[in-house]
Amino acid sequence: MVKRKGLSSLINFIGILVLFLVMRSAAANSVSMNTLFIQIGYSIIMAASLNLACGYLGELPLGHAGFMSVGAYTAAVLTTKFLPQTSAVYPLALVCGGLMAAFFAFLIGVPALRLKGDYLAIVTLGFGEIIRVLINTVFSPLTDGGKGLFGIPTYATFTDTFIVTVLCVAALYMIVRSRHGRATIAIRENDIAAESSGVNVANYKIRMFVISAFFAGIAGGIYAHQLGVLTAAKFDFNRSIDYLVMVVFGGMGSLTGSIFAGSALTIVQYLMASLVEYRQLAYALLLIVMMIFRPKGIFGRWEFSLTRLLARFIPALRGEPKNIDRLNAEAVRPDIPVYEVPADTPVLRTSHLGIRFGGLQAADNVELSLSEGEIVGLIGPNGAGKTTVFNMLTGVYQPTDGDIRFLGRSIVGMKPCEIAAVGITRTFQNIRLFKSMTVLENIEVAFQTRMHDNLADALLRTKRFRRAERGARQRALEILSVFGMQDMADQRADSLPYGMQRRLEICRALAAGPKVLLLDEPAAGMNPTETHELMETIRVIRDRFGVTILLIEHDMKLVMGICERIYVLNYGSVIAEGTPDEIRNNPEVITAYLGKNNPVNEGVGGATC
Amino acid sequence: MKPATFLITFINGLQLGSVYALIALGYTMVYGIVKLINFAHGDILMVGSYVVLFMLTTVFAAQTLLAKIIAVAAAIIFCVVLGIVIDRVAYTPLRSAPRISALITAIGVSLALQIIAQLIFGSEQIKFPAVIINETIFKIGKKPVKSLPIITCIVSVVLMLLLNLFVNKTKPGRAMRAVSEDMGAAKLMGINVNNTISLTFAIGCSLAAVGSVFYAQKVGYVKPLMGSLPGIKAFIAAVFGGIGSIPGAVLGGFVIGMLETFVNYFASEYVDAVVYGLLIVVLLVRPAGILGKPMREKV
Repeated sequence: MVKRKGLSSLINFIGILVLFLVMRSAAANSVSMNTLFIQIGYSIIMAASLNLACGYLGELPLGHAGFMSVGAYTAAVLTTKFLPQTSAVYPLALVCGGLMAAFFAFLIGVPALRLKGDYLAIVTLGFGEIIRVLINTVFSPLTDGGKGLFGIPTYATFTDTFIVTVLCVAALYMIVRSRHGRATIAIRENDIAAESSGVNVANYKIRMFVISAFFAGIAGGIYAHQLGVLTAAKFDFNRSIDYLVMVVFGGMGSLTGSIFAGSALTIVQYLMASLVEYRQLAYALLLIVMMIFRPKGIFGRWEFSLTRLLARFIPALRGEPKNIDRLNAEAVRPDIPVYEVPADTPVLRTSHLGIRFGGLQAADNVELSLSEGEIVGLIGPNGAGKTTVFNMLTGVYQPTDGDIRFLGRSIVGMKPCEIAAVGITRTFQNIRLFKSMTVLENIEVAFQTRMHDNLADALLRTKRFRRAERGARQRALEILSVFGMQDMADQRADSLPYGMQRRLEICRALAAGPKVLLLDEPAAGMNPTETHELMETIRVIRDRFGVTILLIEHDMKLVMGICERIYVLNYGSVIAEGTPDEIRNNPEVITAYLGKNNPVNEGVGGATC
Repeated sequence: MKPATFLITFINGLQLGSVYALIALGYTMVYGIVKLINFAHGDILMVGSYVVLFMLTTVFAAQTLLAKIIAVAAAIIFCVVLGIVIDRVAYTPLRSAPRISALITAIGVSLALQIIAQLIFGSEQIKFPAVIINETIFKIGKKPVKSLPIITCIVSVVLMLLLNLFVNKTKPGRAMRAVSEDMGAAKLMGINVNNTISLTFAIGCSLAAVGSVFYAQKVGYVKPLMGSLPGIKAFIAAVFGGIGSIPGAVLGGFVIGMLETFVNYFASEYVDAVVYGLLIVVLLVRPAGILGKPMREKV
């Protein structure tokens, strides 16, 4: 934390200015230096933008050079054939190139991003190949096809390349360090949990992919206006790989890494220009060795901060901002939705709910009803369909029969992120945290649907953005303190002990501001003491957060101890419903758990404990 | 298109299709078992054809029948060993790493093979000697039907049938299927998972080596980058048929080969665009491929 808010920006500005002056004096008298610096500039933009899609979003696009070519050709065709011959149009051409690349990314991304990992890689690879064919055939009236586009005005200078590079990297940094960046990283870490926390996964994937392509298009524009000549063949698979190597080498998820690797490898390329084979061999081996021995790259996910570095040596820079109280007071917290429960209407009700997977009827005619503020148990033998019911309630699976009504309104057909926004959130049987994010960030992801700052706020670091971020942090800490976890806020989620991880999942589910909380085996793997604490916690949650709770659990002590009503599921159907006492003595339930003609006659609670 | 031209194009399509199918089998089997797109598989094809070239031009003075047989055998053995070594050195350490790491490694291996070949043999293309008899068997109208396409098809189909028998009827084949279903459970049942994976790589690479002879003779030359294009096409074939499915790879191989040959006849500059376009369409309409099974993540 730096003492004054504007100070950090000032330090960064001075740092960049110094770098600029040093580089400019080096470039001033040397054409080759000038060329090298421009190459470094667009390489950094390429690496950093690919990092957004690859390191942060966790996809593997193999056609990044394809987007670069779209940007390069768009900008070059504009400046060469359509726009007046003056360098004043250069910025406009660059932006147009970026927009065109973004447009292509949208076309290819909308369908392709529905596919998982490997397939996206292949589709983007295919795109990279197709675009070259198209440039040489369909678009050849504009691009001059196979013979290449000549006479592009060489507008790119060191100064403007430097400025554009700084702007692009800064923009990427602002995006990554915002709630949008958190959502993106959450998708990489666990897309199902992200979606269930209210992140619109499909939307964010497209957005980030398009943004990534936009910057690649800008880099392409610089490339074209440095070289003065374009041929489609330059943007082949190997070029895509060159940039991928930079991202991998620098660190997937570190813009510092992309800047470093973009510069270093471009210099290597420059020095080894006559030894192309050896350079490529070195690249190939670098990829393999990095993946085996240091898969996270040189910088991992670490980011360099000039302010932090200076603060280490200058104590005066450290400490809380002076006006911290005012800032805290001004913070805008994520909304806490107010739910109107109509009289005589259950909070959540299913009717004839069923789902069929091929020939298997996993759930059939399930009728559940939760009243305001209840704690209800859903039990049954393994494979009874309990989690399947949760998956239908949260939109992970679409039921094939029946209806789910939340506060009287049907939620069938909604996506999981929409259901989270409406007011139903959950935890998972097999913990699904965003492992490499901090405890605090895990919770902040779930504010997604409750925050109002947009991407432009994040880019410009507006007041709205800063207040929302501060508010999110405050609220996340409050939620953590309910569970006594506020001291762990800055630890990585996967460094927590198991019981704490389960609690963190509950915190995250609560952060989304739900009316109904679904807990899937919250006590699994806990020892008796932890389970006992958990029972207390669940009651506290219900009272403090005003939620209605439906929980799946095998620990009968917990179920019988806190649930006011229990549903018993077997073979996908509800076989019993009632208070813990009724369930304990229900002969059908005993049969379901223990089989027929079982001499043990103590009831479910006694038998399992 | 005249009927005679059509028939000849059809036969050429079958020829290219069987080569693609042979390569696609390697992709699909490896993917089925370790869930890795082995980007280097196309380059195994390149290596195979260089071995044959090397044997027939440098090792043997005369290209006798015996020399040819030894050359092809050497190519198969070399590729099998290479495939196993690649798996053990580059892929095995990443078995539990994120899939993206393994994929990047595979890209690295692919590049490394290409560049090593370039450093040894140079980047220019070299004429590939005739390994398989390519005489005119009969004529359709005035167009000759050569023996190379016919032999390619027959050998490929026989190999595929053998592979099918092997996978479905033998003990190692059963082990392969078990590992691809559930690696952990297979291990608990006493299957040596690493050896089974090596066997899979070995089979895939031997098929690629055989394919390399057919492919190199069809195009008439070898060069370091020759493997990437058929490699990618074969991969598309595997995806088209349903990656992980052996009949799917064969089906996909023939479809892509046939499509490419016919598009080539009408508008050669669009061949790649059409093939990639088909891939994208298939992935969008049926992501699991024609014969593949859709997979669902357990929540």
